[in-house]
Amino acid sequence: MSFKQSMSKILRDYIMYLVLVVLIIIFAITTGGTFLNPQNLINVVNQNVYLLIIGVGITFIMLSGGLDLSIGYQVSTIAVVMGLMAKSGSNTLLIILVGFALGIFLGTVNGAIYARLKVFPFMITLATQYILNGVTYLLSNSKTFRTFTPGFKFLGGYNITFRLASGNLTFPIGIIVMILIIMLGAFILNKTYFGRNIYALGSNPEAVALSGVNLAKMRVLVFSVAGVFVALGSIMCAGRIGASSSGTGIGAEFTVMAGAMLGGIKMGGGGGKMNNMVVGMLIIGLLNNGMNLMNLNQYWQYVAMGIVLLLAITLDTLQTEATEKRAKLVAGQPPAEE
Amino acid sequence: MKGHKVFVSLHYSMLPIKGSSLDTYNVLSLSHITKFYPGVVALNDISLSFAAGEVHAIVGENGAGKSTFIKTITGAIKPDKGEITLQHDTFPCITPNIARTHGIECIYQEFNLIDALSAAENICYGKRMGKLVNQKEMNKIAQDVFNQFGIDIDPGTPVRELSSAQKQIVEISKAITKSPRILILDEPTASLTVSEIEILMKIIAQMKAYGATIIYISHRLEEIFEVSDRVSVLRDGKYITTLKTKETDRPELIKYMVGRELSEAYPKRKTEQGDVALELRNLTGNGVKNISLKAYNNEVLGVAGLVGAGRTEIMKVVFGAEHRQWGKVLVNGKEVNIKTPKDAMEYGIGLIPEDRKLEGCFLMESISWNIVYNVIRKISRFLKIDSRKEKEIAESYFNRLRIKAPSLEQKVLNLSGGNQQKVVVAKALAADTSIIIFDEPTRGIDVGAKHEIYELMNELCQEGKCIIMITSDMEELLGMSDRIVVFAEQQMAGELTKENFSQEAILELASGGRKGKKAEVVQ
Repeated sequence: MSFKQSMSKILRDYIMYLVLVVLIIIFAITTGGTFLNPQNLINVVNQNVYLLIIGVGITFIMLSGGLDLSIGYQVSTIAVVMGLMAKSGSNTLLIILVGFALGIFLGTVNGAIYARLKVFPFMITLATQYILNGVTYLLSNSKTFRTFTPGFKFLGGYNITFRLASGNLTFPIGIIVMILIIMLGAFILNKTYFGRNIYALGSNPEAVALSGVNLAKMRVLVFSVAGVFVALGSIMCAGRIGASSSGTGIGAEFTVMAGAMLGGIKMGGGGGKMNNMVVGMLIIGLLNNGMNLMNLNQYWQYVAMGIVLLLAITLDTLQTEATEKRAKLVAGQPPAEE
Repeated sequence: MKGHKVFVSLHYSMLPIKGSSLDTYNVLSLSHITKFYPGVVALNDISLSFAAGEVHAIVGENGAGKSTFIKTITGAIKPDKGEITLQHDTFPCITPNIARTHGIECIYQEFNLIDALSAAENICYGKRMGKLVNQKEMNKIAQDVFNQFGIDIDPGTPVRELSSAQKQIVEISKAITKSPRILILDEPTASLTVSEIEILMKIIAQMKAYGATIIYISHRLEEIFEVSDRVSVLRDGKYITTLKTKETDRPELIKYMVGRELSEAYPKRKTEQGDVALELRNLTGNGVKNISLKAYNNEVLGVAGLVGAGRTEIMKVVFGAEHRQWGKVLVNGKEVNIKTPKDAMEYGIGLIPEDRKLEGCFLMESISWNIVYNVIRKISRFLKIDSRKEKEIAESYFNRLRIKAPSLEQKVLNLSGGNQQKVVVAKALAADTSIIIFDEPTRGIDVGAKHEIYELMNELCQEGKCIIMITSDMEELLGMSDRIVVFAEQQMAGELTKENFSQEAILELASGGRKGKKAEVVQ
């Protein structure tokens, strides 16, 4: 491999890290340093902790060639059910267990319908999204629940305070939980039988079926496992805010899918790693924060987000096209003219 | 039958009346048509003329170039050399537009219908009938043609709800309502029943009487003798000869079709037939009926037949990828119940699929990833894959199959066809298989890699494995097989032992004609 080729490969693999660095530099300059304040950076990450945890599940689904539009409402359904239980004074551990059970159940239902009907999950999860939306409002009666115990709020909302010369620095343990979960997700993807099959499903389902793997079972399993991460995301989100309502987590699926695609995970399966999702989500988080600090109008922020996403897709397509073009090249040189 | 006039249009009045010097009036002439594809000459200097008012059949084995040839006439592909004369105009190549304005219509082997539209809308697709869609008129046109066929299809039915025989009729109707001057039919009877074929034959005769040229491609030689005036033979992309159908017979035609020299040397192997490894008794499913055969250890069983004869289909049933309707599968003399590919693999059956990119491997993943895919569960402890074992297995097959790649981490996408095929074979072998079904093992790979695959098959054979090889490559079939079974029309047509191997005998069995086909098509 020539130097030029290896450079272009490095650029291709790490371009989003480069974008991240460039963004940080731009915002550091435009905000006059406020942006680089450690507390600010910690806050940015903390606001996105639950999204990144859900993102692990969404990454599984996307890599396996699937899609789930109902995740935001799954988060709110789980949050509302936990809120109801907290209100009636249930045991904290029981609340958390029910949260996880509900997450697995909702994921399994989506996955089972998908595996049986074999239609692109867009339609299925669009339908379940409506159902869950209705269910959360029916359950919550449009109320907000604020009676979570400190034990429940520990994972999502507990902060360690460091006393530094320059002032106090609060560090939420949610970030540590998040890092552990992302590492777990990466381990599952790279090192386990299940992870192999996630890639296999997204890459070539026909070959999976002919390799003696139960295609339907595997598809359901991907959604069920993703449900675990959705439930944990919901617990973290409710814990951090200390409250839950029908609005908790709504829109999470689009933010995370946008982040994952931005980072380089292919819609419809076939490629990408856990770190792609992480870097994409960080870019989105920093963009929002930077623009807030610049006092940019919220609506302009939406416009900027859309443009960034379009640019990312364009870049990805250009890279894919270039790879395909290279693959067609023949080795050697033209024969000498006679 | 009423309403025959639906096919007559003003166009036909411009053509000479039947019987007037037909031999000299060539509607379509191709001269020196040559088409290259990477690595092969698909059409090699073909010159051929078609007269008005004749049914001109084109025959040839799998891969003789029939489909490519008709695609040059319809404008679907552009020849690299040669020219085509249509009526009085000469073109270097035909574009789809030229084809349309000169009244060329083609019915391809695969359906080209729009599933979501109704039968009538499909038939009238591309026709100009006023400014807006005229549903009534369309339904009337369609109903008229269906009446011709004497077939009961509601013109308003969406195409996706039709059976394949009905789709074929819609396809034919679509072409003939355009009153073509040249109608090309590529295996038009593949999905039709006997009575529908008879109606088609009548319609062809009728169009011929109006002076249209019909180019008829079929592997069923009986049909060729029934319908055609002249027949041209292609072989390996070359034009062989044109005969008057009346003056020839089946053996002569077969002789021209196969007259190929077996040039390539095949690596020799010395093995004695072992025990029965796989036996099928009246196995039925996936559209294929009552297949009975035996495959032995230490032996290559060749499975011959024309494309679509049901070879791949029945092997998918054996492998558990398709539903078994009835019949038995015996492995090493014991009856087994295989319901999924997983079951098949547990009994030691491996399948190297026909389409390696679509069914065989994971292009976006690495070589080692692919090789160990079938066994990752076995080499996992608790949940984690044992990466040392993974590397061991991948390396051993990588070396044994002499896969040429810079490293095991190379993506399969970036390998040549031959090396991709080796990866697929390695993946099947890694699962510890003893009965290996190769479906078109050397399709689209270069000569050197082919040879290596043959040598590998010999090695496996000597190790005592049972090899079943489905192939459409006649040389490979004769060169590699110890025995050959021939399929025709979704049934067994016969079996040949090594003493009886000949190209003629195989083709005779494979083009068994209509005799096996009954009206009871399962829908």
